[in-house]
Amino acid sequence: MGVQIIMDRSGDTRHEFDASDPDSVAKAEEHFQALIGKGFRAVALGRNESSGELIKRFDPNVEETLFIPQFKGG
Amino acid sequence: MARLRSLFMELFQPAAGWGRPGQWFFGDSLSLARVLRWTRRAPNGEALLGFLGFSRSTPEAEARGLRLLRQNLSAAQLEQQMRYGHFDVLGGDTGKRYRIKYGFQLNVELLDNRGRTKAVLCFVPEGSLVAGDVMLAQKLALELFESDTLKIANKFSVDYRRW
Repeated sequence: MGVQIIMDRSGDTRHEFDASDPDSVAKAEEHFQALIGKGFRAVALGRNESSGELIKRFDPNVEETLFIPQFKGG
Repeated sequence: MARLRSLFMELFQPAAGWGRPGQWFFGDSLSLARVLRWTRRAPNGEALLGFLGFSRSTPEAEARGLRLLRQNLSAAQLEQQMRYGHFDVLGGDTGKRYRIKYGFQLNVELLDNRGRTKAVLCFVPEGSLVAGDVMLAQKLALELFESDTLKIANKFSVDYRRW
């Protein structure tokens, strides 16, 4: 089971997908591409002290992907 | 001037027993109501609310954001955050040390090798996120894509020799 976590006003919104179900994976990939297209950055969240890894391509084997909106200077 | 000073003293008095140590809160509800009324009238009201440490999000959303942040801090960062209300991050490209404080704007400091603030950075993710999300996004940005982040961030230098 994979989860895509999108930061938003509500704290976060989560979309789960089943890595063993091709339809579910296809939807998750579509969602990934749509968010990247909007300027979000995807981070494969790390485990055990690691901060994670920036990813540019969809990987159904990543358990938790966090989507961060693009930054602006404050 | 004295009236203005007393208003600011009243606004920024620390509320004992509230929140994290070192964090300042608005003193009473009358002052808070005044500030919120003023910020809502201002054309850039949302930014002002953010600067003052408020967001228009619900308490549940704030809690979700803080939970997500805490789940993604290292043990050392979590302890620092719980104890002092801020945590330190090492830049992924330069190895420089940054301090992220609770907040939405002007809450990231670049530290020198003695732990003193060298500069204040201002960069935020778009979309009026809750504080926990903002701080987590800032942490990941500095750890994973520091150079890109520094190109976007506004920097305010702090020179101690002039103090």
